[in-house]
Amino acid sequence: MIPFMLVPFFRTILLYLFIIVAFRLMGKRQVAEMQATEFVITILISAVASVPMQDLNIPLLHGIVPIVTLICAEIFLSVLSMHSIKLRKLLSGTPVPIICNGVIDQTALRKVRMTLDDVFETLRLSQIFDLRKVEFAQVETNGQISFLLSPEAEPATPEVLSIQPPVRDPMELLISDGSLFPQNLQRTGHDQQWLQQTLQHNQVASLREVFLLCANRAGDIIFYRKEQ
Amino acid sequence: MWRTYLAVFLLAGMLAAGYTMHHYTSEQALTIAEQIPVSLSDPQAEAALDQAHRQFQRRSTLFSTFYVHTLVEGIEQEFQNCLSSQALGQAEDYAGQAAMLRYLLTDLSTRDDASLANIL
Repeated sequence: MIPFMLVPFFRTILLYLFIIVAFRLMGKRQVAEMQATEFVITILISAVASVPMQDLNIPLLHGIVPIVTLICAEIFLSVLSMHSIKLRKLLSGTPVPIICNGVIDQTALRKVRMTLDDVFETLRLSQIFDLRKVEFAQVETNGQISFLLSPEAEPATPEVLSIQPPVRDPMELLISDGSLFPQNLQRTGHDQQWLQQTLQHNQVASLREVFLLCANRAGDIIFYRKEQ
Repeated sequence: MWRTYLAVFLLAGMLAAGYTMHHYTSEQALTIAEQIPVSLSDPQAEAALDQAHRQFQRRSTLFSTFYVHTLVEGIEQEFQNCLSSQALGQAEDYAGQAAMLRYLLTDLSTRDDASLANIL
């Protein structure tokens, strides 16, 4: 690599690491379900960070200061909106019901600027191919549509069938690709002795030979040996 | 909640550090500007200009951290012009270049002032 290219290289690495920290500070919600404010922040941070990456004439600080300011603004706004319903409504809006008792509310659809194609597409993606099966639907503040199916279209649940389902014990990941997760081992109520016995039972000499080991409190296991 | 405290700390730290560093770099730029001799008639002009140039070079990394690099390079270029005019004894050219150099250094210090004009 020629020496000149090292400047944008290091700048990019620094900004990349900085943005990862920034997004981690803003929390997991940022990536999964974006509200309007979070979407704006995401776009702004990407735009601001790319300027000092490409233009070597601009000091790196001119990119970092706006990013820190944006993170702080986002955190303060989210804290304020946690305490104020009015601000929350102002920043994120409110859910809009678009189907009530199986009837599409055309005014509401126009209000959220959503076409029937959008509604049907979302229904189909949720495995609903008949509009009459939907009793209630609303557009959430993050733009997603949530549905309540009519009782006759709901899949049969143990509650409806009046049966007592057996209590399920979740499987925890104990060994992943040779690495042990001691907290998960403790959570399942097992100890190192149990682990050694399990490995011996499966004719494995060390953890490194295990690709996957899951277990629950009842002692059920899922075991995969690592392929050579 | 720790995120809120961290945000407060980051913002306060950034603003305080920004203010301090801006104050420091402005002072340095003004000090260098004041050292530049206005004309070649002064017998100490050569030494003063050399000293000012050396000081600027020592602080160029600091200036580049806060200001757009072309501004810092422009000042260095003007220093070179002054030095060459001084070496050739071109007093008239030097006077104009020295005035420009002083202006660039003074302008550099006010460029980041949180004035309404700069913000807008």
